[in-house]
Amino acid sequence: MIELFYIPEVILSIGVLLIIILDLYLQKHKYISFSLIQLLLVIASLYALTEVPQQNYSSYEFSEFTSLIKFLLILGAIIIFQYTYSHLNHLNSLKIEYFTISILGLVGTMVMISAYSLLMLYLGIELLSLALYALIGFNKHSGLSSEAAIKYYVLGAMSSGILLFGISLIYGFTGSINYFDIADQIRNINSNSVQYLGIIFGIIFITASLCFKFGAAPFHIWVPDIYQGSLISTTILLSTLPKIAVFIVFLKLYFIPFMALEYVWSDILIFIGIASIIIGSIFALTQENIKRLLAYSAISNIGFIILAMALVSNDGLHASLYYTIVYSFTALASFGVVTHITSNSHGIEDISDLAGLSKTHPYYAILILITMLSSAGIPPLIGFHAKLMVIQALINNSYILLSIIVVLMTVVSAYYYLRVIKTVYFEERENLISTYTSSNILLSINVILLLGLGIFPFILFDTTNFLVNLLTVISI
Amino acid sequence: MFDYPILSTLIWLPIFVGLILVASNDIGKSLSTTITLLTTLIILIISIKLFQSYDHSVGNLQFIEKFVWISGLNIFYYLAVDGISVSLVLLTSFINFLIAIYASSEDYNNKSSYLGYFLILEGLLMGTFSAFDSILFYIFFESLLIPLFLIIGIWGGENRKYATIKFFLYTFFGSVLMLISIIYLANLADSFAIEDFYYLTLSFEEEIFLLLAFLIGFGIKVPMWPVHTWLPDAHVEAPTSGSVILASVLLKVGGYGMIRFLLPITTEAGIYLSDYMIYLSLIAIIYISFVAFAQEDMKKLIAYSSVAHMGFVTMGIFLVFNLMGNNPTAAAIGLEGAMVQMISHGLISAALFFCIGIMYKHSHSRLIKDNFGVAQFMPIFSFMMVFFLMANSGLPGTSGFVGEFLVITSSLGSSFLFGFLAALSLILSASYSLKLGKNVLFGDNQKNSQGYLECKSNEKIVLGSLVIFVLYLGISPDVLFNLLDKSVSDIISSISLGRA
Repeated sequence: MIELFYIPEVILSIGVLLIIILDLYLQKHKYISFSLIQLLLVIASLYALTEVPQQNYSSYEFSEFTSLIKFLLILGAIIIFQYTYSHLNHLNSLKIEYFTISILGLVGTMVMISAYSLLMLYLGIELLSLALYALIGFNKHSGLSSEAAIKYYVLGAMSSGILLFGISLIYGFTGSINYFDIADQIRNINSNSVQYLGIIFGIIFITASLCFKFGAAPFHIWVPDIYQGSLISTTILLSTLPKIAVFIVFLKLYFIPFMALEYVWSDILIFIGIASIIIGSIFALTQENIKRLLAYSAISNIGFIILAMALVSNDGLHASLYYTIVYSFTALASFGVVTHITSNSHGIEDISDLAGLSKTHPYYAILILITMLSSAGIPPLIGFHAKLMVIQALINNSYILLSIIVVLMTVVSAYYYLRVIKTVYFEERENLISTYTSSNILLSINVILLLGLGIFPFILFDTTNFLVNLLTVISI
Repeated sequence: MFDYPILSTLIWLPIFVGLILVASNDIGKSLSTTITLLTTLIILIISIKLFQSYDHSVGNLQFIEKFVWISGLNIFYYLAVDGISVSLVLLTSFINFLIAIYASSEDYNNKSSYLGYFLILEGLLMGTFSAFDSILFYIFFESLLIPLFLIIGIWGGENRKYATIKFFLYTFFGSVLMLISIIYLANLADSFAIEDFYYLTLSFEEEIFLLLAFLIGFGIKVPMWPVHTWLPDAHVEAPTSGSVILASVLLKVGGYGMIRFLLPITTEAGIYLSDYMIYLSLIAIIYISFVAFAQEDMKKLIAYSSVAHMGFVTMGIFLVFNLMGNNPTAAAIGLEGAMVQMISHGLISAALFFCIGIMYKHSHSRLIKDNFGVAQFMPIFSFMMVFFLMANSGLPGTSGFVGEFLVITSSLGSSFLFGFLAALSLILSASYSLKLGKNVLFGDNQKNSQGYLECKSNEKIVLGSLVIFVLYLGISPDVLFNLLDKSVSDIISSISLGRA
């Protein structure tokens, strides 16, 4: 039993509860609680790294793969909290609850990643969703924020219902909720039986629900509203940690229990991927609000990830994992920059608020330049390599037409990234922009890595290659 | 041989210095000017050394630097040069040095960033001309857009936002199609090295698609006739040095790419479609010349003239397809003509854009009607400008003549009509060049209130050295031929490789 305390999830949960109590006595010294939270995360990340992989597990997986992904997630959370802390501090709405709730969401993502049975998966997703409902509605002075919270709550609850329905179908027709057992059952199934039909329905319901959580088209309608309504720091969280977790859930679900029905879900996912890329690219063109713009950009990025994964090939898997990490990293950078710029007490809302930034704050202008070019997939930045890998995987699997659609959409999306750069660099305006720090080391490192990893892409490439190899080990 | 990686130095030194200049954010004007002058001078010296130590009697690829870059994807950091690359590397470093001299007396806001972007651009151009791994080539090719986008967008004219976005999206569109072709080829060849593509046996349909993709990609960059509309806009809005580098070096990237990719890889399809591509080039030569004649904006006039002159380049390249079967000598002449035309146009268009920039400083207008009687106030300048206009119209004795003459000769080997139509250009280009000269330099100067002043010494150096090189290449083009001969025949022989 003592081993239980070495699991980062447990450490985090217990630590958070302690911090909530401690915080009651430290109302005047919030930075102490905040430092404790960051310390807790660092400790948890170390535990994640040193976690001993186990060979036998039934409903909860401990492997090298999951611990590495958890480590990445905690690292992401540390960076996000750092951005969030200064942002909330600046807005005078710093509450330690924000971080404790976020950590509970983080635990939810970790449960999702380790889940090896459908019920565990559901628990993880619910834990994450509950945290997100609270975080989205955190800005209680804003009508948009409350609207977003209610919207996300209603839709999220419905999608959880759909997920549960899918799970019960799978359970009903295979008699198990464990991934391995389901895989066994599906492998030996007769394709003319009722069972077969039921399982396919189950898979489709689960796919729909997960795509909702992922924010992929055609289940994307909530994304722009929720991104716009929540605080920018919540938006960073929304667009990184849950996406990574849902992506890993996708990988594990489709490549372990549902692998034998690959011919069923692969086409569905290809459609969802392409639809997300097209909708994300085209709808972003007319957006004026920067959070909505980034929301649509997230949708099209999710499309790339799903599309690469749907190829069911080794290079596709690698490309999707690589893309996920690059995407999260770029999202951290681009939202991170925006958190540091304010044009009024509420922060940046519209793209036009950024006009003339290059004159007054050349440092932030360069950061925006790099992140936008990387998102647009212009070499030599890291975003290019990610797109390159996806397109290469498409071509290697003879999806030439799809690859042409994808690159044309890249050109379309380049337009709105360029529009941001244009506003920052080429437009002048009576300037109301202020930034609350002249520079930020963490943010700079984050952004410069987009360039550095682009010039030395093999660093990240080898890492993800290692991860993919681990993954194929577990899926066999 | 040198004990340092000469090509990597050519690429990374300017990029490194450029990044420092951009990051330093407006250090003093004189300091940044000095740093830029020094860097471009060093690069010029290194590229002259490269030229001297390049053994043109051997041909092939020399100064090879090849390391694994991304092992899993089989991508190499693979640099090398042949004669074609060396000539373009020389052009790049020379033009950038001139830009640095020209900019030394100019005043821009945030000059260090301005010069920094030019240095980055120079390094990326060097990389484009010396990369022999297709992905590396693509990365340099595509990265070129970033500094140019910023140069035009930040320091450009009134309508710069429209022009930059148009320019960026046009070229980005072309290059992504090219990216797909590269990946497709690499998938077949199991390697990203360009020369490995030459040995592939492709089906006819595959070749047609690849040819179209490459044609769109490089054709937009050149630019060829129906996709040229971004160029006049970009030129008009760009600051003088931006126009210079755009016309003289960036357009050459398109021609260079055609020679590297289109000719050797998609030969069968090229032979099948060559007539149509030659028609496109002829439209560029003749129709665009008329368009140029109708322009009222000096920069637009020269921009259209660039499109027309680049028509000779593409024509020389496509003639290779047409002639290779029955007349390989004429094919080689055509290709060599295209190369000479590229270098010569690089010098002449640079000179003309410098001239317009100098006039603009005094009159603050690019319109022909606002500039007149310049010769009376700026005699030396006017002499040189007349010389460049003559060279632009292909006057024998200038480099402008050599390239066009070679291409016309080669086209006569294919069909009389092609030769005749191409030769019309000599009349057409003379007409718009002389019109510009007559109206601007010698027009009525009674109403003149602009107060032109003879150009400064650094501007005289820039224009004077261009005069020398235009004359030198016109009188003894051998130096270029020696450099190119072997590499051109290498290209021609790799074409027959692909056919076997």
